[in-house]
Amino acid sequence: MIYLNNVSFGYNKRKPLFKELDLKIESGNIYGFLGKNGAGKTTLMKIIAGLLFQHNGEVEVMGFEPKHRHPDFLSQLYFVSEEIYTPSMKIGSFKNVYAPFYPEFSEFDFYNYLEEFQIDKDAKLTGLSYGQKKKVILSFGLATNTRLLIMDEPTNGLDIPSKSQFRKILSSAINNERTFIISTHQVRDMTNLIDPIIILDDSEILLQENLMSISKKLYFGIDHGMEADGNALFAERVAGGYQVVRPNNFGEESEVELESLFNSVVGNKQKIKELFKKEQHGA
Amino acid sequence: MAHNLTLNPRRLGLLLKKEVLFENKKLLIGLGGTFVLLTLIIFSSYIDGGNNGHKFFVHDFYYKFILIGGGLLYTSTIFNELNNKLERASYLSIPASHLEKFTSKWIQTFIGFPIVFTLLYLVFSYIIYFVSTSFSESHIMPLEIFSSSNSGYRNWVWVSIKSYLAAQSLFLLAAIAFRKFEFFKLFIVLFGLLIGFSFFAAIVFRIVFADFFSGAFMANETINIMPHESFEEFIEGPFSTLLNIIVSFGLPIFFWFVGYLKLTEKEA
Repeated sequence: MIYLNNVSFGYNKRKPLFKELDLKIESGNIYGFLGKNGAGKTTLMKIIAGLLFQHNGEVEVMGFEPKHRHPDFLSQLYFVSEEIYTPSMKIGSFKNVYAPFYPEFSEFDFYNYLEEFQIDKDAKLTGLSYGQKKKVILSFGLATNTRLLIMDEPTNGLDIPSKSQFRKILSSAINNERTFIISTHQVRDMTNLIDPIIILDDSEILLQENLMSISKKLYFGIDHGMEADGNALFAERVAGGYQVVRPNNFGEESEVELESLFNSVVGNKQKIKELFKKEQHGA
Repeated sequence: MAHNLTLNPRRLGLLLKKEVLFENKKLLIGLGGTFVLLTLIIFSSYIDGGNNGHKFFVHDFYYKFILIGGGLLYTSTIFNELNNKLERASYLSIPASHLEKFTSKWIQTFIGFPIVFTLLYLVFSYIIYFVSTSFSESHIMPLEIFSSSNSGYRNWVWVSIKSYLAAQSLFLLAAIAFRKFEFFKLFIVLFGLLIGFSFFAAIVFRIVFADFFSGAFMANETINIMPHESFEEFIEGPFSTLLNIIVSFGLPIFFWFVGYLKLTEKEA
């Protein structure tokens, strides 16, 4: 569905953000983009959405070159940015003006999502709080039923109940035809939701794997000893021992803990690359 | 870069609907305020003139001034979605081609504004006329679109519309190219170009007529710069027509094309 080949981009010519980046994204999944501040998550999503143009390389999304912003391409994509723009109008008017641009838009879904988020459908957008506005835009984006939905930090500004509602809605909205891409710092909000994971750091993609593959190669658990395991890629003191991530040499089953995964990948770039490369060759 | 030149009437209609419903509030508020101010100005002038049965032909200046000044100001702010980063991303993501987005703005400024403004002004001038005749023997004559030969108005409406349309393309380009203060930035650029061109012309003149100069200034010699009769005829005849065609049609098409290309290059 999305192919990036040798893509380079930078806001400053002397300091490229990406150099010869390759990426392949298949449909039917909720992809999670993880990375530190400034790693280029938003930039990469904007390149995919045709809002920024790569300097070199090729980008193909749903058979289109995003930079041409063909209407048929744009009608199959919805981008929810971190900071959202809402025009001064009522929710119903917003829907009436923008929904006809999206052929698969479902009014039923839209009002359903609003109800789940407990948003008054007759409210004026400018009178809503940041979190409420975000819920309206997320509801609209999901209701467009576009093949590709890109969300930049979607849970920023959402209160605790809304975050779980968001997870619930997202899980129910995904199907084999659709792809969601979510970038986030708040990895705990995305537990049991995003799969595969893409970790960006220092102008490159450090990891692009699904959770099953990650749990095959890495073990996530708690060591109850007084000291952390020396083989651990990451260890963090928790009540009763250490939360650790280590190579899964004995085929143990464990649940991937996203925050620990991110820290172990960013802190052990070379080891992680070798570990996953070895497995790929083995497969 | 390959450009898609899709022009779908349905999407164009949707864009225009969006513009008319939500983007033109400021225009309507501005026009409303202008008409209120104009009413005050006209009536204060009328009261000063006394009730002596005169016919006042006051609208030609105001109509021309607001159509051209207001219209160009409106045109220069028509792409205000591109000024703000968030709005820009939202606007560029709307599923419509660049040509459709450009055309929707072009229709509003090139066709919509002159028609709507002229009609509103016509209604306004008739209201002023009826109010003035109700209270006194003097008449503030309404605007005439097709002024007759014995009218107090000359063909100001068509001349003004023609002037506005000739300049619209440049301001539309400025609306896309500049992020803020488009109207004023365009004047600064034009002023800069004028100064630059003047310097260039002066230098060329200095080089061509070097023999008549002593240092930076001309020696006390007279140069006959009166053109030959045939040259004068050429300037006033075919050259004038050619220049008119270039300014009225050639330049606008060029500026629209450049504006469209600038729009395709916009990023968010």
